[in-house]
Amino acid sequence: MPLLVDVRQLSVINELISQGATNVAASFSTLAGVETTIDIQSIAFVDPADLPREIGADEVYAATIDLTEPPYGSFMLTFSKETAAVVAELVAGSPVEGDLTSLQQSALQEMCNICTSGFIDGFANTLETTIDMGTPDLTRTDGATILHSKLSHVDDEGIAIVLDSTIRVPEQGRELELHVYLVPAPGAFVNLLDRIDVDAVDRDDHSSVPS
Amino acid sequence: MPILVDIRKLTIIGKLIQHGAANVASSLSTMAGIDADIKIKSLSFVEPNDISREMGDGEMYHANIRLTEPPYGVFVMTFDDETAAEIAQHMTGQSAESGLNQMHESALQEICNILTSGFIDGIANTLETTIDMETPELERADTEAIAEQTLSHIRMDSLSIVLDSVVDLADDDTEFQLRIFLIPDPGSFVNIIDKLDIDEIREKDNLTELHDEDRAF
Repeated sequence: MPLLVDVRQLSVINELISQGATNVAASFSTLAGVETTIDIQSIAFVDPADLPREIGADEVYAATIDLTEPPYGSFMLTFSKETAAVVAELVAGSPVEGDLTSLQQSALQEMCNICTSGFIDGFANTLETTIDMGTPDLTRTDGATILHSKLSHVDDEGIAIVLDSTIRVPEQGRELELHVYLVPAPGAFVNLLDRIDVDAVDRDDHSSVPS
Repeated sequence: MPILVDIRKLTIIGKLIQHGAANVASSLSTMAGIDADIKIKSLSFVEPNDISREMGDGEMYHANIRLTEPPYGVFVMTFDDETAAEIAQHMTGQSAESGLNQMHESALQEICNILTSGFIDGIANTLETTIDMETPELERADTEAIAEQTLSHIRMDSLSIVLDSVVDLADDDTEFQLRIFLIPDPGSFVNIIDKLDIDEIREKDNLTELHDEDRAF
């Protein structure tokens, strides 16, 4: 069964993504106590079956969560060991030597919590709704395992939105690579997109640009 | 009447664009002897009215082509003066610091031809068809004027796909940043992607990958 959306509504997707990303930067600034910016390096729509290839064969940290409200589906953040070390140091305040200490481990979990809720809240604000959620599960594993253990229920017929972003902490000259994956339930996602008034989203956008 | 697209087909749009980019890379190599990687950094959908804003402020170089076969519509590539100078310099080996001379300009025109035909042919191959087009005309104009010219025969309910792409040269540190606007006729475009099957495309990708590996060994 096709899941149809008006082509004019597709511009809403970019709005959702950019609001989500902006919110992540704001949350991260609050957590780390330093000014941060986020740059979206790439945006792609991929087939969920191709996700292991997108995530890669190397072990990464992955924070996954199932959304229990529309657009349902799953949300995931992944980042490398190097990024994890930078975050742990920024947030927990002590340099990483060898394995992460439990303080650093919880700093990492905290970062995943706020980035996830930041992104989803930004999404929800644009949709003029709220999306309730718990805390994401943080694991360290590779792409294929993530898909099997965490995203196995994801509908093969769906779409995945993949973002590569760079969070910059200018004060410390640090950069973090963060990958964001959203695999919504396609039906619920179409429903949400359909309800948005594109022109209203656009007007908000204009008013928020400082002139 | 709104034009509807199956949301799951967005992955096909992504594939079409990847194939377009891959074909640009091979055209650059065979037709201009340039080894480069074409990266599509982002794909976004914008409303036709927002195109001039997406192009940025001021004057830009742009190559516009009208497609005279499905998916019809317009293909526009834009880049700024800095990129133009970099490309011209790289192609001709002559400094472009004091402005572009005639040789620079024809080199630029040549590159635009290769990039646009490479991209459109790559999309056409995936669609297992050909897409006839005119030769792009390279001009420099204010973005508002470009948008106006581009949109003069575009339906306002069209879907525009904006791609930020980078031509990353293999043999030095240079990158050319280009922006591509695809504004197909929405009905025709939806019709085309409706007929495509993601599994078939994936099979084709796998075959190409196998070939690539063969070549590597």
